[in-house]
Amino acid sequence: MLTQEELATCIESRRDRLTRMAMSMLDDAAEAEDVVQDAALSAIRSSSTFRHTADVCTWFQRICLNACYEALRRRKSAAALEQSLRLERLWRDPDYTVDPERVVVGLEDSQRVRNALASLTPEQRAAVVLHDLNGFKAREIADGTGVALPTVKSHLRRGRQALVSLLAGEER
Amino acid sequence: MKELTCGEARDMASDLIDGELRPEDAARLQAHIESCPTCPRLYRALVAVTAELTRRGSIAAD
Repeated sequence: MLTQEELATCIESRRDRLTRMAMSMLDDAAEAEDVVQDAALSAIRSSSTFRHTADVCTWFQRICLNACYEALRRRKSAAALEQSLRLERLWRDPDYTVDPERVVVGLEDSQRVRNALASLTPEQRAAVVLHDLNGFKAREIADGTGVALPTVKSHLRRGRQALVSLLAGEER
Repeated sequence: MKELTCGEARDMASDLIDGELRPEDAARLQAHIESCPTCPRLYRALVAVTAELTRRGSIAAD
């Protein structure tokens, strides 16, 4: 049986790291804090369902990851989807290419990187932010979000491709 | 060995960056990149984006 003390210790030891993860996914400090707080309350409420075969901190992390993912998905945007489809077509065009030096210059501008990340579809943003910025493995993202592993990899691939095009500034 | 299209090669590039491509597929991708006029620049840009995001993530975690 998981004690409230064990869970509270885990929540507090992970809170800063998970809030940073939520912030990088949601790009909104207040919402990130709310999501982690709600995840903590959810973990406390459902602690009786915790099985000791899993690590309690990993279990709490998964609850947070899922809460962030759901918060991001609620922001579905028609513009992001339209952009995603346009860029996907572009990457299938054998004549399409970019100047990698322009991408490197774009990467030096933090605001441009944030804007580019913000314009991805929620699923692509979650995959890129969790995998590349937060160091999660694709399998961990799949387990935490309930999305199939090949789908997570596809979102990661499309998200990275979109970032290249957006930072190259050569969309057409 | 069947040659890759640009679309296939570009999709496989992400897995190569993550070290998740089977050796035979990595060899096919390498062969495509060596002969394609457009994909090498996209591949270099993908590597740069992934490396920079990973670098920023490591800094934030410190």
